[in-house]
Amino acid sequence: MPISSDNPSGPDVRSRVPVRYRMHFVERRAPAWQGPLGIVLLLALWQGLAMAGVIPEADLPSPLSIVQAGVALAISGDLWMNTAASLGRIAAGYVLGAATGMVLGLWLGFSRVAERVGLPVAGALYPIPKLAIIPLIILWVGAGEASKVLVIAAEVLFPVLFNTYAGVRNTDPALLRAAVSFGASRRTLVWRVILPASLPTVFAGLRIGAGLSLLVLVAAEMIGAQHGLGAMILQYSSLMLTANVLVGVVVLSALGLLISRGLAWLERRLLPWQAR
Amino acid sequence: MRLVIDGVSKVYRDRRGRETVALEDIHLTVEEHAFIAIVGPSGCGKSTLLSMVAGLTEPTAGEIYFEGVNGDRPRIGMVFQEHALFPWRTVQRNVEFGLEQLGVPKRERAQRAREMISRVGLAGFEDKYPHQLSGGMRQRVGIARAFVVEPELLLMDEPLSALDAQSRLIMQDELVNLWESVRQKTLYVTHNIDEAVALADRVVVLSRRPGRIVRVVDIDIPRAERRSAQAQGALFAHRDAIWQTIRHDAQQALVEG
Repeated sequence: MPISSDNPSGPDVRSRVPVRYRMHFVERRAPAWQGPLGIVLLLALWQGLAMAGVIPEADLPSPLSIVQAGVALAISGDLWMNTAASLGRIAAGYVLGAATGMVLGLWLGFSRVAERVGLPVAGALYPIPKLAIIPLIILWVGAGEASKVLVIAAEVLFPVLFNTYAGVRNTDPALLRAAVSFGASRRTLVWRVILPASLPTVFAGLRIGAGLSLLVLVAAEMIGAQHGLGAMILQYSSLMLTANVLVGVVVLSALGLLISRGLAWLERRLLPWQAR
Repeated sequence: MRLVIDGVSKVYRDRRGRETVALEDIHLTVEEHAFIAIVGPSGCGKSTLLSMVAGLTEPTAGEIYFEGVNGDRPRIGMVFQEHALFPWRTVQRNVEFGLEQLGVPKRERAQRAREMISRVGLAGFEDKYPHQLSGGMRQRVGIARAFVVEPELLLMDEPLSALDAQSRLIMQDELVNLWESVRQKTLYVTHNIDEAVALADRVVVLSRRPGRIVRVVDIDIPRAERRSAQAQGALFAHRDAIWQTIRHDAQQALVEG
Protein backbone atom coordinates (compact mmCIF):
# COMPACT_ATOMS: atom_id res chain seq x y z
CA MET A 1 0.00 0.00 0.00
CA PRO A 2 1.41 3.39 -0.88
CA ILE A 3 2.13 5.63 2.05
CA SER A 4 -0.22 8.52 2.01
CA SER A 5 -1.24 11.12 4.50
CA ASP A 6 -4.65 11.71 3.05
CA ASN A 7 -7.73 9.79 2.13
CA PRO A 8 -8.65 10.39 -1.52
CA SER A 9 -11.77 8.26 -1.54
CA GLY A 10 -13.38 10.31 1.18
CA PRO A 11 -16.98 10.01 2.19
CA ASP A 12 -18.54 12.59 -0.12
CA VAL A 13 -16.84 12.88 -3.51
CA ARG A 14 -19.70 14.87 -5.05
CA SER A 15 -19.17 17.88 -2.82
CA ARG A 16 -15.56 18.11 -3.93
CA VAL A 17 -14.22 21.60 -4.84
CA PRO A 18 -10.97 21.31 -6.83
CA VAL A 19 -8.15 23.76 -6.17
CA ARG A 20 -7.39 25.56 -9.39
CA TYR A 21 -4.01 27.01 -10.18
CA ARG A 22 -4.59 30.73 -10.06
CA MET A 23 -1.24 32.30 -10.84
CA HIS A 24 -1.30 32.01 -14.65
CA PHE A 25 -1.87 35.70 -14.99
CA VAL A 26 1.23 36.56 -12.98
CA GLU A 27 3.47 34.01 -14.64
CA ARG A 28 2.55 34.70 -18.26
CA ARG A 29 5.56 35.08 -20.51
CA ALA A 30 5.84 36.34 -24.08
CA PRO A 31 8.06 34.33 -26.46
CA ALA A 32 11.28 35.95 -27.69
CA TRP A 33 10.29 36.07 -31.35
CA GLN A 34 7.72 38.70 -30.49
CA GLY A 35 10.51 41.13 -29.66
CA PRO A 36 11.08 42.73 -33.11
CA LEU A 37 7.36 42.60 -33.88
CA GLY A 38 6.62 46.15 -32.74
CA ILE A 39 9.35 47.71 -34.86
CA VAL A 40 8.44 45.65 -37.92
CA LEU A 41 4.73 46.50 -37.62
CA LEU A 42 5.44 50.18 -37.10
CA LEU A 43 7.68 50.30 -40.19
CA ALA A 44 5.11 48.42 -42.27
CA LEU A 45 2.32 50.72 -41.15
CA TRP A 46 4.46 53.77 -41.85
CA GLN A 47 5.40 52.50 -45.31
CA GLY A 48 1.79 51.59 -46.07
CA LEU A 49 0.46 55.00 -45.04
CA ALA A 50 3.17 56.73 -47.10
CA MET A 51 2.41 54.63 -50.16
CA ALA A 52 -1.32 55.27 -49.76
CA GLY A 53 -0.56 58.96 -49.73
CA VAL A 54 -1.87 59.53 -46.20
CA ILE A 55 1.49 60.92 -45.03
CA PRO A 56 3.01 63.44 -47.47
CA GLU A 57 6.53 62.33 -48.42
CA ALA A 58 7.84 65.86 -47.83
CA ASP A 59 6.76 65.92 -44.17
CA LEU A 60 7.69 62.40 -43.23
CA PRO A 61 9.50 60.29 -45.83
CA SER A 62 8.70 56.59 -45.91
CA PRO A 63 11.17 54.07 -44.49
CA LEU A 64 12.17 52.99 -47.99
CA SER A 65 12.91 56.60 -48.99
CA ILE A 66 15.06 56.95 -45.88
CA VAL A 67 16.99 53.81 -46.83
CA GLN A 68 17.44 55.16 -50.36
CA ALA A 69 18.60 58.51 -49.04
CA GLY A 70 20.96 56.69 -46.65
CA VAL A 71 22.48 54.68 -49.47
CA ALA A 72 22.93 57.84 -51.54
CA LEU A 73 24.55 59.67 -48.61
CA ALA A 74 26.80 56.71 -47.95
CA ILE A 75 27.92 56.53 -51.57
CA SER A 76 28.60 60.27 -51.73
CA GLY A 77 30.73 59.95 -48.59
CA ASP A 78 28.70 62.60 -46.77
CA LEU A 79 27.43 60.18 -44.19
CA TRP A 80 30.85 58.78 -43.30
CA MET A 81 32.45 62.17 -43.03
CA ASN A 82 29.78 63.48 -40.67
CA THR A 83 29.57 60.30 -38.63
CA ALA A 84 33.34 60.21 -38.27
CA ALA A 85 33.39 63.83 -37.12
CA SER A 86 30.72 63.08 -34.49
CA LEU A 87 32.42 59.89 -33.37
CA GLY A 88 35.72 61.68 -32.92
CA ARG A 89 34.13 64.37 -30.77
CA ILE A 90 32.07 62.06 -28.66
CA ALA A 91 35.00 59.71 -28.06
CA ALA A 92 37.35 62.52 -27.07
CA GLY A 93 34.76 64.31 -24.93
CA TYR A 94 33.55 61.14 -23.28
CA VAL A 95 37.00 59.86 -22.41
CA LEU A 96 38.09 63.25 -21.12
CA GLY A 97 34.93 63.76 -19.05
CA ALA A 98 34.79 60.19 -17.71
CA ALA A 99 38.47 60.14 -16.77
CA THR A 100 38.25 63.52 -15.02
CA GLY A 101 35.03 62.51 -13.30
CA MET A 102 36.57 59.29 -12.01
CA VAL A 103 39.71 61.00 -10.71
CA LEU A 104 37.71 63.74 -8.97
CA GLY A 105 35.21 61.21 -7.66
CA LEU A 106 38.01 59.12 -6.16
CA TRP A 107 39.52 62.22 -4.63
CA LEU A 108 36.23 63.23 -3.04
CA GLY A 109 35.72 59.65 -1.89
CA PHE A 110 39.10 59.28 -0.24
CA SER A 111 39.88 62.71 1.15
CA ARG A 112 37.68 64.03 3.95
CA VAL A 113 38.77 67.60 3.18
CA ALA A 114 38.09 67.23 -0.54
CA GLU A 115 34.72 65.79 0.34
CA ARG A 116 33.78 68.67 2.65
CA VAL A 117 35.00 71.37 0.31
CA GLY A 118 34.50 69.79 -3.09
CA LEU A 119 31.10 68.19 -2.73
CA PRO A 120 29.17 71.49 -2.46
CA VAL A 121 31.13 72.81 -5.45
CA ALA A 122 30.31 69.78 -7.55
CA GLY A 123 26.73 69.94 -6.33
CA ALA A 124 26.44 73.55 -7.48
CA LEU A 125 27.99 72.93 -10.91
CA TYR A 126 26.13 69.71 -11.65
CA PRO A 127 22.63 71.17 -12.29
CA ILE A 128 23.89 73.81 -14.76
CA PRO A 129 22.71 72.70 -18.20
CA LYS A 130 26.07 72.40 -19.93
CA LEU A 131 24.54 73.67 -23.18
CA ALA A 132 24.00 77.01 -21.48
CA ILE A 133 27.72 77.54 -21.15
CA ILE A 134 28.58 76.74 -24.76
CA PRO A 135 28.87 80.47 -25.58
CA LEU A 136 31.33 80.85 -22.70
CA ILE A 137 33.33 77.85 -23.80
CA ILE A 138 33.46 79.20 -27.34
CA LEU A 139 34.66 82.50 -25.93
CA TRP A 140 37.46 80.71 -24.09
CA VAL A 141 38.68 78.16 -26.60
CA GLY A 142 37.16 79.33 -29.87
CA ALA A 143 34.45 77.73 -31.93
CA GLY A 144 36.63 74.82 -33.07
CA GLU A 145 36.72 71.16 -32.06
CA ALA A 146 37.83 71.94 -28.53
CA SER A 147 34.55 73.65 -27.65
CA LYS A 148 32.48 70.61 -28.59
CA VAL A 149 34.80 68.18 -26.87
CA LEU A 150 34.81 70.29 -23.71
CA VAL A 151 31.06 70.64 -23.47
CA ILE A 152 30.61 66.89 -23.89
CA ALA A 153 33.29 66.30 -21.26
CA ALA A 154 31.56 68.73 -18.88
CA GLU A 155 28.29 66.88 -19.29
CA VAL A 156 29.81 63.42 -18.77
CA LEU A 157 31.98 64.49 -15.86
CA PHE A 158 29.33 64.93 -13.19
CA PRO A 159 27.39 61.69 -13.28
CA VAL A 160 30.69 59.81 -13.37
CA LEU A 161 32.06 61.93 -10.53
CA PHE A 162 29.06 61.45 -8.26
CA ASN A 163 28.81 57.75 -8.96
CA THR A 164 32.50 57.16 -8.37
CA TYR A 165 32.31 59.10 -5.12
CA ALA A 166 29.23 57.17 -4.02
CA GLY A 167 30.88 53.88 -4.97
CA VAL A 168 33.89 54.63 -2.82
CA ARG A 169 31.90 55.87 0.15
CA ASN A 170 29.35 53.08 0.04
CA THR A 171 31.84 50.25 0.06
CA ASP A 172 30.31 47.52 2.20
CA PRO A 173 31.81 48.04 5.68
CA ALA A 174 31.64 44.28 6.23
CA LEU A 175 34.21 43.83 3.45
CA LEU A 176 36.48 46.47 4.95
CA ARG A 177 36.24 44.76 8.33
CA ALA A 178 36.98 41.39 6.80
CA ALA A 179 40.02 42.75 4.98
CA VAL A 180 41.34 44.48 8.10
CA SER A 181 40.78 41.39 10.23
CA PHE A 182 43.18 39.53 7.93
CA GLY A 183 45.75 42.28 8.34
CA ALA A 184 45.15 44.32 5.17
CA SER A 185 47.15 47.54 4.92
CA ARG A 186 45.65 50.87 3.95
CA ARG A 187 47.04 50.44 0.47
CA THR A 188 45.46 47.01 0.14
CA LEU A 189 42.16 48.42 1.35
CA VAL A 190 42.18 51.09 -1.35
CA TRP A 191 43.37 48.99 -4.27
CA ARG A 192 42.05 45.55 -3.41
CA VAL A 193 38.79 46.34 -1.66
CA ILE A 194 37.42 49.86 -2.16
CA LEU A 195 38.22 50.23 -5.85
CA PRO A 196 36.85 46.87 -7.01
CA ALA A 197 33.83 47.31 -4.74
CA SER A 198 33.00 50.68 -6.31
CA LEU A 199 33.37 49.58 -9.95
CA PRO A 200 29.70 48.62 -10.48
CA THR A 201 28.60 52.08 -9.32
CA VAL A 202 31.25 53.73 -11.50
CA PHE A 203 29.87 51.81 -14.47
CA ALA A 204 26.38 53.04 -13.72
CA GLY A 205 27.76 56.57 -13.94
CA LEU A 206 29.47 55.75 -17.22
CA ARG A 207 26.16 54.54 -18.64
CA ILE A 208 24.33 57.72 -17.61
CA GLY A 209 27.17 59.80 -19.04
CA ALA A 210 27.00 57.96 -22.35
CA GLY A 211 23.36 58.83 -22.84
CA LEU A 212 23.95 62.48 -21.98
CA SER A 213 27.01 62.74 -24.21
CA LEU A 214 24.98 61.94 -27.32
CA LEU A 215 22.43 64.61 -26.44
CA VAL A 216 25.05 67.29 -25.91
CA LEU A 217 26.97 66.22 -29.01
CA VAL A 218 24.02 66.86 -31.32
CA ALA A 219 23.11 70.14 -29.65
CA ALA A 220 26.70 71.40 -29.79
CA GLU A 221 26.98 70.45 -33.44
CA MET A 222 23.76 72.26 -34.23
CA ILE A 223 24.96 75.41 -32.49
CA GLY A 224 28.05 75.69 -34.59
CA ALA A 225 29.88 73.04 -36.55
CA GLN A 226 30.84 72.43 -40.16
CA HIS A 227 30.52 68.68 -39.91
CA GLY A 228 28.97 66.09 -37.67
CA LEU A 229 25.58 64.45 -37.49
CA GLY A 230 23.99 67.40 -35.71
CA ALA A 231 25.27 69.82 -38.33
CA MET A 232 24.20 67.47 -41.10
CA ILE A 233 20.68 67.22 -39.75
CA LEU A 234 20.37 70.99 -39.40
CA GLN A 235 21.78 71.59 -42.86
CA TYR A 236 19.47 69.15 -44.63
CA SER A 237 16.44 70.32 -42.75
CA SER A 238 17.05 73.89 -43.92
CA LEU A 239 17.15 72.45 -47.44
CA MET A 240 13.87 70.62 -46.73
CA LEU A 241 15.58 67.27 -47.49
CA THR A 242 13.62 65.42 -44.80
CA ALA A 243 14.76 61.97 -45.89
CA ASN A 244 18.38 63.00 -45.33
CA VAL A 245 17.46 64.48 -41.96
CA LEU A 246 15.97 61.17 -40.93
CA VAL A 247 19.09 59.31 -42.08
CA GLY A 248 20.96 61.38 -39.52
CA VAL A 249 18.38 60.55 -36.86
CA VAL A 250 18.58 56.83 -37.62
CA VAL A 251 22.39 56.88 -37.44
CA LEU A 252 22.18 58.65 -34.06
CA SER A 253 19.77 56.04 -32.79
CA ALA A 254 22.11 53.29 -33.96
CA LEU A 255 25.05 55.09 -32.40
CA GLY A 256 23.28 55.38 -29.06
CA LEU A 257 22.37 51.72 -29.12
CA LEU A 258 25.92 50.75 -30.06
CA ILE A 259 27.42 52.78 -27.23
CA SER A 260 25.10 51.37 -24.58
CA ARG A 261 25.57 47.80 -25.86
CA GLY A 262 29.32 48.36 -25.97
CA LEU A 263 29.35 49.55 -22.37
CA ALA A 264 27.23 46.60 -21.29
CA TRP A 265 29.66 44.26 -23.05
CA LEU A 266 32.63 45.95 -21.43
CA GLU A 267 30.98 45.70 -18.01
CA ARG A 268 30.35 41.99 -18.45
CA ARG A 269 33.98 41.49 -19.47
CA LEU A 270 35.47 43.62 -16.70
CA LEU A 271 33.07 42.66 -13.88
CA PRO A 272 32.28 38.99 -14.46
CA TRP A 273 31.66 38.60 -10.73
CA GLN A 274 28.46 40.62 -10.64
CA ALA A 275 25.23 38.76 -10.02
CA ARG A 276 22.88 39.33 -12.92
CA MET B 1 50.30 32.16 24.28
CA ARG B 2 46.97 33.31 25.57
CA LEU B 3 44.51 36.09 24.94
CA VAL B 4 43.55 38.33 27.84
CA ILE B 5 40.53 40.60 27.84
CA ASP B 6 41.17 42.83 30.82
CA GLY B 7 38.37 44.99 32.19
CA VAL B 8 37.04 45.96 28.79
CA SER B 9 34.02 48.24 28.42
CA LYS B 10 32.34 49.75 25.41
CA VAL B 11 30.07 52.75 25.62
CA TYR B 12 28.26 54.09 22.58
CA ARG B 13 27.25 57.71 22.58
CA ASP B 14 24.52 58.89 20.21
CA ARG B 15 24.18 62.39 18.73
CA ARG B 16 22.27 63.73 21.68
CA GLY B 17 24.99 62.52 23.99
CA ARG B 18 22.94 59.67 25.41
CA GLU B 19 25.09 56.76 26.44
CA THR B 20 24.48 53.09 25.86
CA VAL B 21 26.75 50.76 27.76
CA ALA B 22 27.22 47.85 25.36
CA LEU B 23 29.81 46.03 27.43
CA GLU B 24 30.88 46.56 31.00
CA ASP B 25 34.04 45.39 32.69
CA ILE B 26 34.62 42.18 30.76
CA HIS B 27 37.39 39.94 32.06
CA LEU B 28 38.11 36.86 30.04
CA THR B 29 41.19 34.79 29.39
CA VAL B 30 41.37 32.46 26.43
CA GLU B 31 44.01 29.80 27.00
CA GLU B 32 45.78 27.78 24.34
CA HIS B 33 43.45 25.24 22.67
CA ALA B 34 40.34 26.61 24.38
CA PHE B 35 37.09 26.85 22.46
CA ILE B 36 34.99 29.51 24.14
CA ALA B 37 31.47 30.33 23.06
CA ILE B 38 29.97 33.68 23.96
CA VAL B 39 26.20 33.52 24.27
CA GLY B 40 23.70 36.22 24.99
CA PRO B 41 20.46 37.82 23.87
CA SER B 42 20.50 40.28 21.03
CA GLY B 43 21.99 43.57 22.03
CA CYS B 44 24.33 42.10 24.64
CA GLY B 45 27.42 43.32 22.84
CA LYS B 46 28.82 39.88 22.06
CA SER B 47 29.72 40.80 18.51
CA THR B 48 31.22 44.04 19.72
CA LEU B 49 33.48 42.07 22.02
CA LEU B 50 34.72 39.94 19.13
CA SER B 51 35.15 43.01 17.02
CA MET B 52 37.35 44.58 19.68
CA VAL B 53 39.51 41.46 19.93
CA ALA B 54 40.06 41.65 16.17
CA GLY B 55 41.01 45.32 16.40
CA LEU B 56 37.95 46.44 14.44
CA THR B 57 36.32 48.35 17.28
CA GLU B 58 38.03 50.48 19.90
CA PRO B 59 37.27 49.70 23.55
CA THR B 60 36.13 52.62 25.70
CA ALA B 61 38.03 51.24 28.66
CA GLY B 62 40.23 48.28 29.47
CA GLU B 63 42.80 46.41 27.50
CA ILE B 64 43.04 43.42 25.24
CA TYR B 65 46.38 41.73 24.79
CA PHE B 66 48.19 38.54 23.94
CA GLU B 67 50.48 37.06 26.55
CA GLY B 68 53.54 35.00 25.79
CA VAL B 69 53.92 36.09 22.19
CA ASN B 70 57.27 35.67 20.53
CA GLY B 71 57.59 37.89 17.52
CA ASP B 72 54.84 39.41 15.44
CA ARG B 73 51.18 40.08 16.01
CA PRO B 74 49.46 36.70 16.30
CA ARG B 75 47.66 35.51 13.19
CA ILE B 76 43.91 35.95 13.42
CA GLY B 77 41.34 34.15 11.31
CA MET B 78 37.85 35.57 11.42
CA VAL B 79 34.55 34.20 10.15
CA PHE B 80 31.68 36.62 9.67
CA GLN B 81 27.94 36.07 9.91
CA GLU B 82 27.16 37.40 6.44
CA HIS B 83 30.23 35.72 4.95
CA ALA B 84 31.85 39.03 3.95
CA LEU B 85 33.41 37.32 0.95
CA PHE B 86 34.86 39.61 -1.68
CA PRO B 87 32.33 39.32 -4.51
CA TRP B 88 34.93 40.12 -7.20
CA ARG B 89 37.20 37.30 -6.11
CA THR B 90 36.72 33.68 -6.98
CA VAL B 91 36.52 31.07 -4.23
CA GLN B 92 40.22 30.37 -4.69
CA ARG B 93 41.22 34.04 -4.51
CA ASN B 94 38.95 34.67 -1.53
CA VAL B 95 40.63 31.90 0.41
CA GLU B 96 44.03 33.26 -0.62
CA PHE B 97 43.28 36.74 0.74
CA GLY B 98 44.66 36.23 4.24
CA LEU B 99 47.73 34.49 2.89
CA GLU B 100 48.38 37.44 0.59
CA GLN B 101 48.40 39.76 3.59
CA LEU B 102 50.91 37.48 5.28
CA GLY B 103 53.19 37.67 2.26
CA VAL B 104 52.99 33.97 1.44
CA PRO B 105 54.50 33.34 -2.04
CA LYS B 106 52.04 32.90 -4.86
CA ARG B 107 52.61 29.22 -5.53
CA GLU B 108 52.39 28.17 -1.88
CA ARG B 109 49.33 30.38 -1.47
CA ALA B 110 47.52 28.69 -4.32
CA GLN B 111 48.48 25.27 -3.02
CA ARG B 112 47.37 25.89 0.56
CA ALA B 113 44.12 27.52 -0.56
CA ARG B 114 43.30 24.58 -2.83
CA GLU B 115 43.90 22.10 -0.01
CA MET B 116 41.70 24.06 2.37
CA ILE B 117 38.93 24.47 -0.22
CA SER B 118 38.99 20.73 -0.68
CA ARG B 119 38.84 20.16 3.08
CA VAL B 120 35.66 22.20 3.38
CA GLY B 121 34.17 20.15 0.56
CA LEU B 122 34.32 22.73 -2.21
CA ALA B 123 36.82 21.04 -4.54
CA GLY B 124 35.78 21.90 -8.09
CA PHE B 125 34.32 25.26 -7.11
CA GLU B 126 37.64 27.13 -7.00
CA ASP B 127 36.82 29.36 -9.96
CA LYS B 128 33.25 30.21 -8.98
CA TYR B 129 32.30 33.66 -7.73
CA PRO B 130 30.42 34.00 -4.41
CA HIS B 131 27.15 34.94 -6.11
CA GLN B 132 27.18 31.56 -7.84
CA LEU B 133 27.21 29.67 -4.53
CA SER B 134 24.52 28.77 -2.01
CA GLY B 135 24.54 30.27 1.48
CA GLY B 136 26.09 27.17 3.01
CA MET B 137 28.81 27.03 0.37
CA ARG B 138 29.61 30.68 0.87
CA GLN B 139 30.07 30.16 4.56
CA ARG B 140 32.38 27.22 3.85
CA VAL B 141 34.49 29.62 1.83
CA GLY B 142 34.42 32.04 4.76
CA ILE B 143 35.54 29.26 7.10
CA ALA B 144 38.25 28.14 4.67
CA ARG B 145 39.50 31.72 4.37
CA ALA B 146 39.90 31.88 8.15
CA PHE B 147 41.42 28.43 8.71
CA VAL B 148 43.90 28.58 5.83
CA VAL B 149 46.06 31.19 7.56
CA GLU B 150 46.64 28.68 10.38
CA PRO B 151 45.35 31.24 12.84
CA GLU B 152 46.65 31.42 16.38
CA LEU B 153 43.29 32.88 17.31
CA LEU B 154 40.02 32.03 15.60
CA LEU B 155 37.18 34.50 15.84
CA MET B 156 33.76 33.41 14.64
CA ASP B 157 30.87 35.84 14.70
CA GLU B 158 27.60 33.91 14.35
CA PRO B 159 29.10 31.94 11.46
CA LEU B 160 26.14 29.60 11.07
CA SER B 161 23.19 31.82 11.87
CA ALA B 162 22.48 32.82 8.26
CA LEU B 163 21.96 29.15 7.38
CA ASP B 164 18.81 27.07 7.47
CA ALA B 165 18.40 24.66 10.39
CA GLN B 166 19.57 21.56 8.51
CA SER B 167 22.58 23.14 6.88
CA ARG B 168 23.48 24.50 10.25
CA LEU B 169 23.56 21.05 11.88
CA ILE B 170 25.74 19.73 9.07
CA MET B 171 28.09 22.68 9.27
CA GLN B 172 28.33 22.33 13.04
CA ASP B 173 29.72 18.82 12.61
CA GLU B 174 32.08 19.94 9.88
CA LEU B 175 33.26 22.82 12.01
CA VAL B 176 33.96 20.47 14.92
CA ASN B 177 36.03 18.19 12.68
CA LEU B 178 37.94 21.06 11.18
CA TRP B 179 38.55 22.60 14.57
CA GLU B 180 39.75 19.32 16.07
CA SER B 181 42.43 19.19 13.38
CA VAL B 182 43.85 22.58 14.39
CA ARG B 183 42.77 22.95 18.03
CA GLN B 184 43.55 26.65 18.16
CA LYS B 185 42.05 28.97 20.71
CA THR B 186 38.70 30.17 19.57
CA LEU B 187 36.10 32.75 20.43
CA TYR B 188 32.74 31.81 19.00
CA VAL B 189 29.84 34.23 19.23
CA THR B 190 26.32 32.89 18.88
CA HIS B 191 22.82 33.51 20.11
CA ASN B 192 22.09 29.83 19.69
CA ILE B 193 22.47 27.97 22.98
CA ASP B 194 22.39 24.52 21.34
CA GLU B 195 25.21 25.52 19.07
CA ALA B 196 27.30 26.90 21.91
CA VAL B 197 26.83 23.76 23.99
CA ALA B 198 27.58 21.49 21.01
CA LEU B 199 30.82 23.21 20.08
CA ALA B 200 32.48 24.87 23.05
CA ASP B 201 34.54 23.78 26.04
CA ARG B 202 33.29 26.77 27.92
CA VAL B 203 30.22 28.91 27.44
CA VAL B 204 30.37 32.51 28.62
CA VAL B 205 26.92 34.01 29.12
CA LEU B 206 26.45 37.73 28.71
CA SER B 207 23.60 39.86 30.02
CA ARG B 208 22.02 42.61 28.02
CA ARG B 209 22.70 46.33 28.31
CA PRO B 210 25.05 46.57 29.94
CA GLY B 211 26.68 43.39 28.67
CA ARG B 212 28.28 41.70 31.64
CA ILE B 213 29.50 38.18 32.11
CA VAL B 214 26.73 36.68 34.22
CA ARG B 215 27.65 33.02 34.04
CA VAL B 216 30.41 30.71 32.87
CA VAL B 217 29.46 27.12 32.08
CA ASP B 218 32.12 24.50 31.46
CA ILE B 219 31.05 21.74 29.10
CA ASP B 220 33.29 18.88 30.19
CA ILE B 221 31.87 16.24 27.86
CA PRO B 222 34.28 15.41 25.00
CA ARG B 223 32.96 16.90 21.77
CA ALA B 224 32.90 13.53 20.04
CA GLU B 225 30.51 12.13 22.67
CA ARG B 226 28.02 14.99 22.70
CA ARG B 227 25.73 13.27 20.23
CA SER B 228 25.47 10.13 22.36
CA ALA B 229 22.32 9.31 24.32
CA GLN B 230 24.22 9.22 27.64
CA ALA B 231 25.43 12.78 27.22
CA GLN B 232 21.99 14.25 26.64
CA GLY B 233 21.03 14.59 30.29
CA ALA B 234 24.10 16.60 31.19
CA LEU B 235 23.85 18.67 28.03
CA PHE B 236 20.22 19.42 28.73
CA ALA B 237 21.13 20.65 32.19
CA HIS B 238 23.75 22.97 30.71
CA ARG B 239 21.38 24.28 28.06
CA ASP B 240 18.68 24.88 30.62
CA ALA B 241 21.03 26.63 33.00
CA ILE B 242 22.12 28.99 30.21
CA TRP B 243 18.56 29.59 29.05
CA GLN B 244 17.32 30.36 32.56
CA THR B 245 20.14 32.89 32.87
CA ILE B 246 19.30 34.85 29.74
CA ARG B 247 15.59 34.23 29.45
CA HIS B 248 14.53 37.46 31.08
CA ASP B 249 16.99 39.51 29.01
CA ALA B 250 15.90 37.79 25.81
CA GLN B 251 12.29 38.68 26.53
CA GLN B 252 13.36 42.23 27.20
CA ALA B 253 15.27 42.29 23.90
CA LEU B 254 12.19 41.15 22.04
CA VAL B 255 10.21 44.11 23.35
CA GLU B 256 12.83 46.83 23.10
CA GLY B 257 14.60 45.66 19.94
